[in-house]
Amino acid sequence: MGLLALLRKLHSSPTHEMRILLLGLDNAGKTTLLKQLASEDVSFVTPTIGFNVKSVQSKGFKLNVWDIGGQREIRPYWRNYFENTDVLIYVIDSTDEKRFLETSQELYNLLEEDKLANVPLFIFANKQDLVAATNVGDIAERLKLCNIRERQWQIQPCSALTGAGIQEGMEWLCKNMAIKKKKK
Amino acid sequence: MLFGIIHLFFWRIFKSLLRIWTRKCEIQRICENNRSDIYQECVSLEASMCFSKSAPIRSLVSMSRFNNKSVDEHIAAMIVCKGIKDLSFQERFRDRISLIIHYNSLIREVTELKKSYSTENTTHEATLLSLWDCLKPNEKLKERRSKQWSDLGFQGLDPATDFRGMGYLALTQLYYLANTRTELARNLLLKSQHPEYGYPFALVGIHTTSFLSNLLTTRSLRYQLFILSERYQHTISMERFNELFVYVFVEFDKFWRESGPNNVMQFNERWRVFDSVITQNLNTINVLN
Repeated sequence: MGLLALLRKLHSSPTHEMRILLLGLDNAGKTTLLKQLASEDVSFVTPTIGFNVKSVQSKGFKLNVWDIGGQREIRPYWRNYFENTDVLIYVIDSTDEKRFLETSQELYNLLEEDKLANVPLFIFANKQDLVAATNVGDIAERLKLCNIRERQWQIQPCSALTGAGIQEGMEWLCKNMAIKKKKK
Repeated sequence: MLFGIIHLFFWRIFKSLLRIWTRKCEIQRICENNRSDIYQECVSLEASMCFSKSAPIRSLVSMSRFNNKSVDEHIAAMIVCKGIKDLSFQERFRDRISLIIHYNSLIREVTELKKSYSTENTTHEATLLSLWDCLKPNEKLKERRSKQWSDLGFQGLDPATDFRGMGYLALTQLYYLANTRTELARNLLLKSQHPEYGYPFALVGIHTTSFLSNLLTTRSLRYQLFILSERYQHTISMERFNELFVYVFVEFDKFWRESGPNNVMQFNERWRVFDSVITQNLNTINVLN
């Protein structure tokens, strides 16, 4: 293969682009998840002021992942990032039982947004590596996830710190997106 | 990789020729070269010693605890190993190598402090409460988990979750600012609450710690700490590192307001610009003058 052909092949390899929005309360683990997706070191993460964005290659997709800070003061700005979202990833700290109510309220506010209507929802129940973590079944029940209608959704246990469960999640995402793109 | 090996090979031949011609080893030549400043000397010494074939030299330059006796023993071993006869370089060399070891030692200390903040550690908790008292002398903290923390620019009810990757180090730096420069710290806190150009005070502090700790471990604070220690006879210490924290924080506050951000969502974009300006300053001017 000539050099030019090789370059062209490399250049054209990401077949689809996907815009992923990463939301959740502060300290849920959004930035750690983002770094894990980009195969970066996750040991020195600090709280996000504003937002982070990264492009990640996965299964023939170019994922543009937007990680928006979860601090209460920043949440009103979330809506500025809704436009053209292909998938919403919502991250929950499974050990923070005291804020399950708060996180479910924020989630339902998001689901009512017009700009996010029909956008597939993927929930990561994070920090499953910790003993204090609530299991996925209980979280689904506490957050009344079975009430979610008119959109595809899925919940997945994971540990953004160790990387466990992240690949499974991303595979589900890419598979579902592939089906959706074919339909188009 | 291959180029590196070839390069190293020719470099070694070149050094051997120089050694025969000058009758001095590279370390002596660096210490007797009066054209370079202390920073350049230390950097050249470090590079030369890290690539040395002799084990005593490599172990000397990688020491991370300063101890007079042990340093002297290492230097003696090096002199024997290198067969150095003319000892006139020794005093200056000892001076330079001490700086390098103090720098290594600071990295070790900082890495140690970065280990996570713990709510079960009484020192950690006491420092956190003192931070509140320094910054809010006229307001009592009602309970340990409290919404009041957000007045200092923490995110939730418990600042412990915000320290994360920077651990106790982030708190010690914020506390250094609040405790030794109380007026300045209160003033900065007030400015951080500006309705248009505000920013989360504590989070910016944690971010600053992360920025500096990264520069320190990649050895990019050598200019600042080496130059400073020569001019003011300071040793390289945690206090100097904390002074740099104060400097970066104050500069950020100025930069942020002057850049006229629309809102805090522009933080990372503006920080990237700030980062390159400040890194440049830290490598070229003595900022703690």
